[in-house]
Amino acid sequence: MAGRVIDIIKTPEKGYNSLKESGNMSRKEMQRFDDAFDGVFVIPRPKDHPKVKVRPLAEYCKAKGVLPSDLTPEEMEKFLVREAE
Amino acid sequence: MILNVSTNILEECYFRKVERAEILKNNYTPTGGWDFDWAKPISLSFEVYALITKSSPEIVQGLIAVRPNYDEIYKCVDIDILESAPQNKKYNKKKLNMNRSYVNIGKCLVAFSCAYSVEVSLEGYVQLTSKTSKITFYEELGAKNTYGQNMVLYDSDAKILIEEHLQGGIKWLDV
Repeated sequence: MAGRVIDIIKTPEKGYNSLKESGNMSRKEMQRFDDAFDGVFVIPRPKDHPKVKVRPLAEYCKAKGVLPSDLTPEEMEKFLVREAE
Repeated sequence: MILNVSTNILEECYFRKVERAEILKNNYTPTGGWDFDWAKPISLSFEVYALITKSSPEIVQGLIAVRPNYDEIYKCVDIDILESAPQNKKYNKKKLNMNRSYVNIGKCLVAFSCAYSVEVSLEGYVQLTSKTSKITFYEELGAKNTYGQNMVLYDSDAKILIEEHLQGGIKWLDV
């Protein structure tokens, strides 16, 4: 984002600095992302969805040099916590 | 930084904690134009934070509900819900919002969750639930799709998001 900003407008009388956008690229990108979600970016975890053991999974994937999505269902199952029904 | 749509000027993001009393008073609920009832995450032990601007700190531009999870197998910040304020949505009551105030709310609040994770000694790790159709947008931010709609941001992803959107970390501002 910083690469797309060229002008710096100082407005000390308002107590803050603002950066003026130089073109439409940055605004388009910002708007594209926000528009895709239309306001709702994160939803609550459905109760029937398992929890994910975040740290062990991250360590395992980093050590293997893979993404979580590369794991087999059997591998992934080791990192899921299914709440008792 | 968020973009003021009417002036086309980028403005610094500031944050403040939102208490239950403000949620009830200002009606941060579906009847007030929000999709979620923001009192609910507080009842589930989440803390709610608002993205604001320095010039109008009383006006909430977006909200996020977060909770640190120090359990050894998680050690991350959980995001419950994250939403732009009604004035910043593309549509209001199914009509195109012609008076939109700011854009880039979503990325800045995700970056906030990363910086918050660092502040509470969880190294930037964050997990959240995305709508299925929006997973690719989170992957653009570096998030990893783990299982179902669960997305995880690693410490390295957090560092990049904080540098891009919250240079200098979280700027707190009290009303």
